[in-house]
Amino acid sequence: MSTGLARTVALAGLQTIPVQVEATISKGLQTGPGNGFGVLGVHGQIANEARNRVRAALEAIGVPLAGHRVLVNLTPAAVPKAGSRFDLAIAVAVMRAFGLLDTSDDCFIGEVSSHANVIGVKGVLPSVAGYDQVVVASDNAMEARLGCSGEVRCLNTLRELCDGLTVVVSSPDPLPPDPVLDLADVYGQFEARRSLELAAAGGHNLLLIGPPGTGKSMLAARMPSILPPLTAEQAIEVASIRSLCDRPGSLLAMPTQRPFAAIHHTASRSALLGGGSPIARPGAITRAHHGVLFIDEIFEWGPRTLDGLRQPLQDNQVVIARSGGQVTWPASIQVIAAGNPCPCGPPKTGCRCRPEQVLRYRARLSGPLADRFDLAPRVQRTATKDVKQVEPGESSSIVAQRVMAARQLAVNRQGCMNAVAPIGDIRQASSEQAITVLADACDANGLSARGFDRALRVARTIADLSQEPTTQAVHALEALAHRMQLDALWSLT
Amino acid sequence: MTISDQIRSLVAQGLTSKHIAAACKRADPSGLDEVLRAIRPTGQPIPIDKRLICIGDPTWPERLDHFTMMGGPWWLWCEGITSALSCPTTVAIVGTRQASADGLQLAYTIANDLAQHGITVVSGMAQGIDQAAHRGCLAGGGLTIGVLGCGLEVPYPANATALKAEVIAQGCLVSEQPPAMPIAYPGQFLERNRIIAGLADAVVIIEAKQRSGALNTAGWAATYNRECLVVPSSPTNRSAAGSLALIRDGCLMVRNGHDVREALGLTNSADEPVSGVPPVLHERVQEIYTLLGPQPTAMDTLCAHTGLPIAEVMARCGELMNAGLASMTGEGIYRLT
Repeated sequence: MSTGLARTVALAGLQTIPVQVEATISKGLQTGPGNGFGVLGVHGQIANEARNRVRAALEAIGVPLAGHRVLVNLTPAAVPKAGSRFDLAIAVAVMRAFGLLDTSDDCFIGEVSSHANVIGVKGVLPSVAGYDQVVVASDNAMEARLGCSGEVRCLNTLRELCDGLTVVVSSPDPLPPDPVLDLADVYGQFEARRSLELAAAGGHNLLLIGPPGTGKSMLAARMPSILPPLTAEQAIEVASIRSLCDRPGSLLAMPTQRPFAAIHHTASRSALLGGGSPIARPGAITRAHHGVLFIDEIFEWGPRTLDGLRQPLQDNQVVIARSGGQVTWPASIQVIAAGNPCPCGPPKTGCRCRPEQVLRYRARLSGPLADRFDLAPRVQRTATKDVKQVEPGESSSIVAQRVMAARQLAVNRQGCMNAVAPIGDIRQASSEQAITVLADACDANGLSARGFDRALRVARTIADLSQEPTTQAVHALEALAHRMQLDALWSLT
Repeated sequence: MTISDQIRSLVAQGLTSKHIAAACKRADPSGLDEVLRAIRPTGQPIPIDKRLICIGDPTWPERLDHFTMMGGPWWLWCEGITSALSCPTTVAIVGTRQASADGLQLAYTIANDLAQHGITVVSGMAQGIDQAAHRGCLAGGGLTIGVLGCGLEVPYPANATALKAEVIAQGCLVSEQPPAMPIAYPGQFLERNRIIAGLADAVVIIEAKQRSGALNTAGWAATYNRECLVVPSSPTNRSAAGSLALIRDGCLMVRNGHDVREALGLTNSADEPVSGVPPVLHERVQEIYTLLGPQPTAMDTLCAHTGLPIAEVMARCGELMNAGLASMTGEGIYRLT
């Protein structure tokens, strides 16, 4: 009887849990369950698949399994283990037990095919942090390099491991930046552009209202281009989530631009919030972490699905409990939603909806969620002649500078964005006249107490954008117009 | 047996206006008696009570008598102050259910003005213009008559339960249909419209669409020889295409309650109120205010016309709203008054 060890790592959410693979071989017939190749510590079908893949791979490279019984144990057994990422470590542990490989402290992550190829897996970047020596599939080489401060080696087949042919991965050359969608592409749409800028500067959630084909999605997709770039810390979190969600091998550089995750009303609750069995996977709100979640056709969503957003928007994280365990995903997001003003669209020939139909349609966005929005610009149809005549709007880089300066002002004052700041701080930075304007609106325009609070925040953001230390009456008046646009959505005169 | 007793017993046997029409065809009658003899009701028997008033009853409104043989109603189920049906002057105000903010405001103020001059306002209890007219009349302290397309006890329109109670307290609700009759066939509201036209001395139309019940009411008004008055609107207002067509066809145009009263011969143009003096505004907001009309204008349109930055346009709109000179709807900002 001889033994071999190999180190690997499991993931729970974005938390790493070290896992040790222990292989024991003994003389005996290859009979019984698993034909003499047993895997412990992994539950259900996953254990069966890993066993069969690794066994075939070892036979393919000539490991003399015949006449031996192999028992592999992944410890601690209580840690939930999902996916094919343990294959490589299992194979290495078995090969070490046969004396084919030297013992080392390397952490192995990768899937093994039955032809002994080593294949990339998801979630390598968050797994390798804190390890000195890591061995991964070539597909995962770049992201392991990005996430690991120690030595990263990669390989394509198991045989390379036996022959000592693994390649040390060096830091990649900086890639040219991804092409950015520029706000200059949007013609006209003054109100929507202004609202987008305010949303970016103050962290306000934005609801774009307009008929189909007017450019709501186009505007929303340009939001990341005017937001400040990710900080180094945020970039690692975003890259970790991408590593978990995207195809292995697609993450080649640290992201700099904030993520933009779009989701459509046909999506399930799990696709939105995260979920799946036995261990929950991240949903759209986690993919939008530190960035923008774009909810298209918001009035077409079932209220049950969308109301799941309420807690994450409050807590900046989403907790998903399933039979396989509880997972917490980060979800610090800004929401941009888009919707048609009524069920019929309306088409160019005019709206055919009855008033109560329109109200019912808009009421599908439940009150508590509707309260999260501070801005609701109307996106207009741009006449073709305008597209020809109007000069293109400001480009994203100019707007981004203003947004950056405004955010800086807000952070210097209260340490956070206006949308989430304590209302006391916002009031303190407001002039008497600004407060009077909004207080008057409570009488003259039926502004609610919540509307007053939210409009004062928007006014503060407007002041930040014009670098004013004190909110003036003119800022409050503009904020009032924005607020009345939003309130007019839920009331038909 | 008097005619009213005969009708009452026929209604109890399930008589509907369709039976009357069929009998008229069969008998080619010259008088009420002949039709009554030709009628064979086939409907379900229904219980009748004192809410039912018929031709020949002392409470039966004289206005409807002329139309007995012109398709007019022979009986009405009536709840509230029945004498409201016979008051000296009545005006119907009807229009679209999908009214603009401006249309609703006009309906309210015209009804309010008429109510203050002792004129009863008749309308159809429907959402939009109809309900605004009832509310304006109630607020003006006048009597109002709500004519329903369904039975008196049917909760339709859904949002009008409270308004119905107010109308019953300060006027009456009437319907030709049995009290429990739901909305069962499309013609129900068209039949209702002839009662509205019949009960009114003049019909005021505010915002009728191209194909709308209000135009049907206007048609009945012509049949019954009632004055048909139309409140104009912007040609861009889709909700008013039908009413503008009526003006083109030669209907009298009215702007306010005074014009309506003048058309009825209750006042003369010497009493015409002076039109409101436009407010004197700071030139900063004057530019925007001049561009606003009763129909909502989008912020982007104001931007394009003034060449001002959007932040400036919105701030000035906020100023106008706080001054009570403008208000916002889903489509944009519009001028008040």
